[in-house]
Formats: sequence, C-alpha cells, structure tokens
Amino acid sequence: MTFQARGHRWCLHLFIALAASCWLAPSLGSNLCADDFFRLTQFSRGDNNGDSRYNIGDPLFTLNFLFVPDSDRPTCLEALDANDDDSLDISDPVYELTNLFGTGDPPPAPGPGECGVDLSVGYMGCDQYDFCPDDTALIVHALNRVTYGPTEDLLTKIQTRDDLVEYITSQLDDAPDNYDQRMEPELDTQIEALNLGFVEAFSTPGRQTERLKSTLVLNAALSRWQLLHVVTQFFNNHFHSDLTAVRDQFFRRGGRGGQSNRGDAAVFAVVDTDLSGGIDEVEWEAYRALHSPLRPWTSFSRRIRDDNVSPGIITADEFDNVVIAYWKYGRGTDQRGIAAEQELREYTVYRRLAFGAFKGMLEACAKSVAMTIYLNNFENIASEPNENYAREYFELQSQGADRVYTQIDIQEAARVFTGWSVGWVQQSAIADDDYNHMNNPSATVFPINRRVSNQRPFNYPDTAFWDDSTYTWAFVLNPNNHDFGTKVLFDPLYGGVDSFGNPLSGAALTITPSGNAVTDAMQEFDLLLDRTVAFRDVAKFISTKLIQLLVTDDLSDLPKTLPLSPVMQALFDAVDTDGSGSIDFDEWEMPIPLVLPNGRPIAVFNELDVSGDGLITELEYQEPDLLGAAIDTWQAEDGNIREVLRTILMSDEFLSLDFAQSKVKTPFESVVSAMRALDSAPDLLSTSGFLGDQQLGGVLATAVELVGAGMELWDFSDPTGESEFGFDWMHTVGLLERLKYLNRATNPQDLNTDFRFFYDPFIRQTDWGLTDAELSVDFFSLLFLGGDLLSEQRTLAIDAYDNPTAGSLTEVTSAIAFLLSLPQFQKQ
Amino acid sequence: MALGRIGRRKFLKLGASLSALGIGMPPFLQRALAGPTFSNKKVLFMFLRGGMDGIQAVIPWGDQGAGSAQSYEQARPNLSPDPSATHDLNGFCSLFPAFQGAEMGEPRVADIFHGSFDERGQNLAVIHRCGYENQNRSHFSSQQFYENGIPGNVQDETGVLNRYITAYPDASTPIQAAALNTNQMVLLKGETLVPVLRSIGDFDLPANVNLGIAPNPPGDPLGAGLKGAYGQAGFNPLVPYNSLTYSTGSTLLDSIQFFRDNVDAEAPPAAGAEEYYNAITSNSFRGFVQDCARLLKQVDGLQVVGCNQGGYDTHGSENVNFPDLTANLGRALTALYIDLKDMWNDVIVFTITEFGRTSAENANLGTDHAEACVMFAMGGAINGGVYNCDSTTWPNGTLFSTSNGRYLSHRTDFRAIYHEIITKHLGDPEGRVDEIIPNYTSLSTGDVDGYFTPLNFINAGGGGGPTPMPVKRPPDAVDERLDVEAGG
Repeated sequence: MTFQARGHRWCLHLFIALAASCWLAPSLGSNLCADDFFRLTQFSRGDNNGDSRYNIGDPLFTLNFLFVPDSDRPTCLEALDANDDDSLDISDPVYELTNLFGTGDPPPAPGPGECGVDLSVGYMGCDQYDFCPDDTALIVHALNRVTYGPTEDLLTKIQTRDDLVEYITSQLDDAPDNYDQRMEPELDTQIEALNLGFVEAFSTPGRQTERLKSTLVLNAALSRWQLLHVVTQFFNNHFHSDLTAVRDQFFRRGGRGGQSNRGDAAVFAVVDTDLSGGIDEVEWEAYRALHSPLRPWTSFSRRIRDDNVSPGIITADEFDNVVIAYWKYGRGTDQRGIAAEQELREYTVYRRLAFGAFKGMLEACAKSVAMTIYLNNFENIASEPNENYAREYFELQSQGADRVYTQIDIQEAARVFTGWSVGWVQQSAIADDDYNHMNNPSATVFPINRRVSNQRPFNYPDTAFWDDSTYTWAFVLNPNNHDFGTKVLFDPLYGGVDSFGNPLSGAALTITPSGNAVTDAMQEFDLLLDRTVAFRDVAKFISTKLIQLLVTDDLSDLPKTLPLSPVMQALFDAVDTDGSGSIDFDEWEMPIPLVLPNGRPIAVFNELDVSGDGLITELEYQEPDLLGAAIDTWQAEDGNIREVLRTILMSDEFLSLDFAQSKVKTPFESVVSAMRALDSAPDLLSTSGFLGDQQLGGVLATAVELVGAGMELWDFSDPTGESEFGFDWMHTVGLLERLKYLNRATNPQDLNTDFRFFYDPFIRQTDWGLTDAELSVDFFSLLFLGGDLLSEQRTLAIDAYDNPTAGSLTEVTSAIAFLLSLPQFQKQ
Repeated sequence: MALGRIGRRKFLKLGASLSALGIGMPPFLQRALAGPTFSNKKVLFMFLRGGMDGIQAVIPWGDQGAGSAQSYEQARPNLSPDPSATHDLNGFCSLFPAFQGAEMGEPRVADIFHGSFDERGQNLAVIHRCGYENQNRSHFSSQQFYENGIPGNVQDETGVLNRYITAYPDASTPIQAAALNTNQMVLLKGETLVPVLRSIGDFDLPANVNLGIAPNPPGDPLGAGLKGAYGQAGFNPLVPYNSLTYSTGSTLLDSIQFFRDNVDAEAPPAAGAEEYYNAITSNSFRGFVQDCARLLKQVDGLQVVGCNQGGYDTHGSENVNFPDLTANLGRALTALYIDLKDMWNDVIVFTITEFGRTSAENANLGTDHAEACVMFAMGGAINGGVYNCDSTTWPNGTLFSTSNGRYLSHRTDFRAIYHEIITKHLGDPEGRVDEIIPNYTSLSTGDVDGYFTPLNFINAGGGGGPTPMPVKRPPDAVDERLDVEAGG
C-alpha cells in the first residue's frame, strides 16, 4: 500500500468539504485533513507512533500500519514519511532502520527532536501531534504588533516560533536603510496616484489632507516592510504636527503667506469696458489676457457669475472683494497642498531614520519645515522668544513631561531656537541627500509673493518666482533674529528632577556662541541636542513608549525579577532615610537645600507608587526588566532604535502570550488590519466610495471616516500626538464608527456608496471549499482572530451566515462583517 | 463601598467591578439595581481646550500694575482691544468685545451677565483666577488634573463627573451622562461607562447590522446578533481591556437602541435659540452644543453632558483667533441660555480650561502657557456676578503675581468650583464628595491660603450665599436696543 501526496498542498483543503475522498484511506476510516486551513500542525518526522521518541518502535509502527490490517492508525501521516519523498511506503521504515542501526541519515527536518512543519508541495497532512506546540496564537499576537495585521500569506509562511523570529529579524535587518517608497514600485505607483501636493495653475486637487492620510493607509496595507512603517507611524505621531495648523499659521498670516488680489471699484471700472455696470466673460477674458495671473472666468463661483439675478454677469457688488488674482499659493487648496507636501516630507524623513539613532530624528524634527511652522519656531525671535517649540522639544519629544527640564530650561532653549525659520530657497542650495532640507540654513530666502510695485490696482503677482522646480521650502536661520547671548540649561539649581524625583547631577550646560554667524547659532543647537539625548530619561521615555506600542500599555505588568542595581539601591536608600524598606511621603517631601527646597515633586511620587498605598517600595522603585534592558541597549548603542527594538521584540515578554490581546487597536489599525486580512486592493477610483453625495474613492473616503472614529492623524490638533493607550480608543463613538466602517466595507448594502476597497469574498470559498456556514466561519475566524472565538460567538456567526439580515450582500459577507465586528477584532 | 479611583494601570483592567454589575446587562438595568433616583439637577460643561486666555476674555483693566509688574494695557500693547469696545462687568474688569454684539446671532453674554437679556435676572458667574497649587503648564498634564480633580496625578483616568454618577447612579434613566465628542473625555471616564457621540444623528449602525438581543442566561444564553456577541461573559476578564471592550459594545448597542426609540436628532431648539446656534462658525462645536441641549431636553434623568471647544492654544495671532473663539463661545452660551430656559433652575452650564496664558503678549501677537484661568457658570441657581476680579480681590500687580513674576496667580482652587456644583447643585446626600473630589475635606480644612474658601456662586436651595461683587448695569441704550429686538 502506498500513500502519495496529492499535488499542491493547498489543493488538499478543497477536499475538506469532500469528506470521504480526502486522505481517506480505507483502513483509516477517518479524515486526516486536520491541519487548520493554512495553519499546519507541527510534528517531528520519524516519531511515527506519536510517543515523542524516535526508536525501533517507529519503523515497526509504520510497517504494521502498511501491512497489518486493523493496526493502529497514525495521527500524523507526514511524520511517517521518513525520507520525505512525499509518499508513504516500505522505503520509509527502511530509511529509519538504516539510520537507527546503520549509517543512514536521520529523517529530514523537522527530524527527531525537532518541531516544525513541511511546507513543501508534497506535504501529506498531520492530524495531531501532541509533542510540538501550536504557535498560532503567538504568531497572531506578534503579527498584530509588528505589522498592521496578519494576512493569510503571513500566517502560511510563519508556522512556528522560529519562523516568527526569523520574520521579525528580517523586518529589522533587511529593511533598507534610507528607505524610499520607490523601492516598492507597486506601492509607489499607488501613492503617486493619490496626486498629493501642490500643482501649478490652480490645478492642485482637493482633499489634500485625505490624500496625505491615504499614504499611510497604503503604506500600512501594502508595504512589505511592515515593522518599519509601524515604527515610522509611531515616530511621526511622537513628533506630531498638525497639517491645518501648519497651513494656517504660515499662509494665513499677513506678510508671511502673502495676500490675494481682490476686486474693487477701480479694477471694475477698467474691466467694464462697455460701461454696462456688469462684467461679462468676454470683458473679463480680454482683461485677463493682459494680466495672465488673473483667474479664468470659469473659476469664479457660479453664485456670482451665473446667479439668477444677473446670469452671465458679475456686478460691481459681486466683484467687490472677490479674489481675482492669486499669488502663488493663494488658494486654500494650494496652501493645503504645500502643507501636505511638508508633512509628507517630514514623514518620509522619519521613515529613512526610523531604525537609526534617535538623535537623528530629534534633529530632523526640530529642523523640519512643518514643525518649525507648527510650533511657532518661525516666529521665535530674539527680542521676544516664543516658548512653544522649546516646551514640546522637552516635554513631548525627548524627556517626557516634567522630567529633567524646568520652566527656566524652556526659556533658555527657546533662546537657542531664536531666528529659526523657513524660507523659499533655490533647489540648488539643497544637497541631494538633504531629504529634510535642513542642512543649508544660510540659504538665501526668496520672496514668494513678489509683486509689481507702484501699479495699483494692477499689482498682480509676479510670475518670476513661480517655478517649484527651481525653488523649494527649506529650514533657514535668520541670524538677525537670533539671540547670541549665553544660555544656561540643566542647572541643578533650577530644580529639575529625573524620573525618580532626584535632582539633576553634574554641571549645567552653558552655551556661549563663538560668533554671530549662522554656523555659530547652529552649533548652539548641536550642544543642546547632544546634552539632551545624553540624559538617561530620554532613553527611558522613548523606550517606555516603544514598549507601550509593542508589548503593553501598562509597564507595571511587566516582570521585575532583578534586584535594584547598586546605584539604584543607593538612590533609594538616600530617600528611605528611616531604612524601612519603603519611602513614605514625609521622606519624599524632605527638603533638599538649594535644589529642591520643597522636596521632591508629588507627581513623581504618584507615578512610582503603583499600588497607591502611599509608600514606594523597592519593587515599585525598580524598573521592569524589559524597560531596563531597553535602556541598557539604548545607552550601549547610542540610542539606535533598531537595536532597542530588537531588545524588545526578542524578549520573553514579547515572544509569549503574556500580553496577547492586551491592547486595543486604533481605528486605523482596525481598518487596515481588515483590509490586509481580506487581501484587499485599495480603491483609488473617484467613481466610488461615496461620502454623502461626494464620490471620493474608497481610500479617501476611508481617510475621512477614520476621523469620525477619532483617528485624526495629521488633523490632530494637539502636539501630543494621538494616544497609544487603549482606554483612549475604546469608547462608544470610536467603536461605533469602526463598526460602521467595517460593516459597510465588507457587507455593503450599496456597492457604490459603501464601497471602500476591493476584495473578493468568494475567492476563499473557492480556494478552500468553504461550502457552508461552519467552514466559512471557522476559516474567517482563524484568519481574523487566530481562532480566538467563544463558542457562543461562533454560533452567532454561523447564524449571521445562515440568516443574513436584509440588505446583506451575501451570506459570507454577512458572516465576515459579523466576525470583524467582534470584540476580539478590536483588540490586538 | 468607596468609589474606585482608576489609574491608567487599573483602567485597562476594569473587570471586577463591571463583571460584578453583570456584563451583558443593559447599563440602565445595571444602574437600576445600584441605587435610587434622587436628583433632577443637571450640568452641561464645555471644556475650552488649549488654555483659554482668561485675561483676554475678562480683562482686568483695574490692575494698574505695581513696581515692575505692568498693567494689562502695558503688557499687551498689541492684543489690548479698544477699552470702549469691551463690556464692563463691575467697573474693574470687562468682557472681551466678541462676547457681545449688536447684530442678530451675535453673542449676548454681557446682557446675560447683567440680567438684561430677559426676566431671569443675573445668573452668570464670571470666576477669575481659578487654578491650583504648583500649576502645571503642560496641556496634557493640566487637562488631566482639571478632569480627574487630582493635581499632580496624571495617572488617574477617572473623571470627577464620572465619579459623581458612579456614586449616585440613577435608577430611572438609561443614560445618566453623555459626551458629544470624537473621543472620550477623562472628565466622564471611569467605572460607569458613558456614551460618547459625534452627533445624535450619526449615532447608529447601518440598517443591515443586526443589533440583536443581549444574552439572558436563564433563558437564552446566546442572545442574537451583536448584542449577543458583546453580551457574552465567557471572555477572560484578566486580559487588559477585555471587560472594557465587551461592556463598551454592550453600552453602545443598548444606547443605539435607546436613541432610535427615544431621541429626535432633529428636534428644534426653543424659539430664538436657533439663530445663535446657526451663527457658530465651527461646524463641530455648533453640532456638539446643540446636541448637548437636545439630550438634556429629551432624555429624562440625563444629569451630565459636555463637549469641547478647541483652539485656545493661541501662541500666535491671538488677535485673529481669539475673537472667533470667544464669539463662538458667546453664541453657544447665548443659545443655551435661550434653549434651556424651561429647565433653567435645574441646570448649570459651565466652562473649564486647563490654564490661563502669559500676562505679557509675545512677539507673535500671541501668549504662552501660564497659570490662573477664568471659568464661566450660568444657570438658575447661579448667583450672578464677578468673582475674584475686583479691587478687593485683585491688588495692583496681580497680573504678574506668581513667584517668578510672569503669570497671574490663582485665588480659588478649581476644585472649590466643582465642590459647589456637586454639593449645592447636583447634590451629595450621602456625603461622598471626598471620593468624588479626592481628599476635598482635608484639603479645604487645611487650607490656610483661602484657595478653597467657597465663593458661594451657587444659590443653594434658593437660600443664597454671600452677595456677589457689585455689578454694573449696562447703559440704558443697550436695553432699548434689546427691547426693540425682542419686540421684533
């Protein structure tokens, strides 16, 4: 008797529905197709009798099975294929006997003592093997964190813990340095199709904010380098800037953003050549021919050129104060396009730097055009410093709230940042590899709204500097606005404390510029930057956020198995003056002359007192093992994010189920993970994806609807960026909006209005033989939830398939929408 | 049982308490089991995010400066409005011009303050110099403190008003509190799950989603549809956020059903209010405010509702932004004043913001983060008037009276404001205010600086508190104009 593999292994699943024909040997009497769709059972080749050992009993078991009627049936057929020739016959026990008692090779991988799967074409199936783990839950958990969600492809390729480690390692080490999306041509094509950014001649497409957000959706859904994009989005949010604020603060300020030319009585009188009291199209276009920057007739609002009262005519009243000529970036859409370009530039710079040193990103943030505008640094001048950026540089971007820095440090840092600005400079002044446009702060700034002077009312914008291929926005420093005085930061006398409430140690940072040149001013920042990132609390702050991103919101749940280091013990003992083993409030508030006359800050006490019992124990004082390890890596690797990530992702804390499902997906993660699981393609067509009566295309509509679910991305107004904590995402409006989206997108009532992305609900039915409700529910729950489904929910999902509500597209889409609506899918 | 305070680390494990109440049971049934109804008093709050410039909103012209401390006009040579355009409140301070206009739809806050809007009299309190000791100038931290009521504690994720409704659950109502927002506000976050809505009209699922039936273990342990899925109790409550996710789903689905059956999303406001709502130029803020009022008027037993108005972080161009912001706030206050007239004696509308702004303007026609702020409160129970901003409470130089000489110092702890609202208005029959505002009694009894001295801006039970600061009547001409408008 010979059993042979049935061709391509995927085909075998078709036979699940065909019950008796699938791997059904007459002598077995049961179906051996027990692998769970794309998840295969791990086994050890050669352990034929399933007793965990490899010995003479195994070839004997095979011989009995092949030649003795009614002998024991194997539970894992593939294990018996000792020579891995994709057939089960006498050669297999012979192979094992030769190995056990002769010089033959052992069974190939996964051989004796190993666990694994066989992904080769000739795989024969494995019903059950009790001595190898099922890593599905671990893999689903990890993929939920290091990617934007598992896919069938990933869940097929990554079958074991070792596969998972290999995948993560590849994501860390093989992601290209200086990543550029052109390295992924298909993705690049999709993103280019979004038409993001300013276009000349009044042609900038609308919805620039949504187009920008859509780049995130596409990157997350499609990029091969998932971890890079997860981390990039994290840092883009960490260094958050608000697109609308960038636009408004720069362009809407008189003198900076320039002004549009508006109609008035004088111009009207010149244009109205027939003195009829109204301007018609002919008159306007004739006038416009002499003044090319003017708007074309058709660009005027229909309300004024085609109203019922004066159709085809613009009256003097209608003409008054109407924009008739734009300067280069005069239109709101153009301004938003420019702001979106700057935000995208910032994002792509973070992506290039995401696996490098944190210091590089902090510098890039400080000198990005978008950030310089957003947090008012372009308005920060020596005579009247603006503290806004300096505050967030410490609080949000490097040290964390109320750590190390004080109000005085903010004021001093604001002085360091004086004179920083942005300008329109020649492209030739920017080196090719200066992606952030920050390395030539001395570049000459050109006016963007130069006008022909002294010809009012004919002072239309001069087109001489309208060429974006010649000019670009860049970071610059105006030395006339810089404060070249001496600055003193981090002086312990200011009262700054570290994350343990201890006063700063060491000397203050005194910055005395050596001259009055731009380079001298920039050197001030270099000194500040070096000193800033040297604080351990920067490593702690960023490592904490990365652990919250990847492992758990609540670091107090992490194991603490190590004793306090001698240094930490000494710090603890210095506060625990009565030696009781815990720090009480009186000890905490003990004045420290000169530096902390009112004692240590209560806020730090509250943070350390995890139990809230009014005492800080040594255990509470200790940092979790994983946090300590991440900080150690940070310090050893000069803040290299790739290595910090490696420490976190290779930890026992991450590579276990201890924190599985312990986080809540953001609406973005929820939406994109559904797209990925369904192997969907983005819908960039403008003929679908309705929002109300607007046809936006599914991707842009998605970007709009994410805001409704509370995920504002570049629309988020606060510099904090959006929360990483689940409790900020799990509320009724957030859940409601994501359920709306998932149901409309996957079980549309109207294929036009509800359409969001392309997916074929039937292809899995065909490929996997999902011919009934149970098979469909089991397949999709495995794909969406890793099989994490309560039996009652499974019954309800089957009911959703069997009894779809009116308006459901099909039975299977009803079940898909139901499964995606479950609590488990909202978590990760 | 003492109220649980929920730190971040505890919030994500909200399991035991919710499970004890019975996950899967509709929230209003949970509350029905938990306690009796006792109060029909309501509050509507508006959190002015970003740190409203209190000195600009209520301008202390009376501060002449002292020594190196400048007066308002000296400190703000460019931001200072024309004094004649401001609206005098008490001879010492004035409302920013945009709070009051002459055209239809423009705010009438000064008229409300002076009691000249209608027959209700003076029931708008302008409370200056609110804050707390060791003021934090971070948006994130200070908003957290104003919401959890625990300055210095950024960890605690329970809001003061959530603690209130948790302490005093109302058996009669399905929804005791709600927020109009795109995210949950800490002020309403906590043990009792509070529905958050973008708008009443949007608060529904597509028609082909089966809301279903919550499981009923003695009868049908499955239930049906999504309610059945979210109502199951078989999940692991020890996994963070599991309980929160399941119970949020149940609350959402029950609330959708309730709204479908009971709330008219298009219900018109009281006569005269619509023009003020419509004049609010921010679409989101307009919708939030109007829906807050709709809920208060349509949902019996709804005690707490609130929303945000963002944009007050005016580091630059405050001369442009602040008038728009305050005009919209003024329109909202005016609209609510009209719209909630029928329940005026039972409602207090109040504002919160996380800090005030620097007394001196910066180079960008803006101001930076500072300390003391201003709060507004109006309602039938309010003793209208100005608090903490007159010649007796505001010595010259107060604008720069913090230890570093840069900011306006606080005179009243914001928790004293909350305390009055809770104890005199919402009611605290069981004396649980120390759980709702942690340690309030010890803070107030140990208060040597007077930060917790009651302002008595609420007239408890009609008995009245100390007479508020003297107020000035508006010029007669204003009254005449108002009469004309009212007649028209």
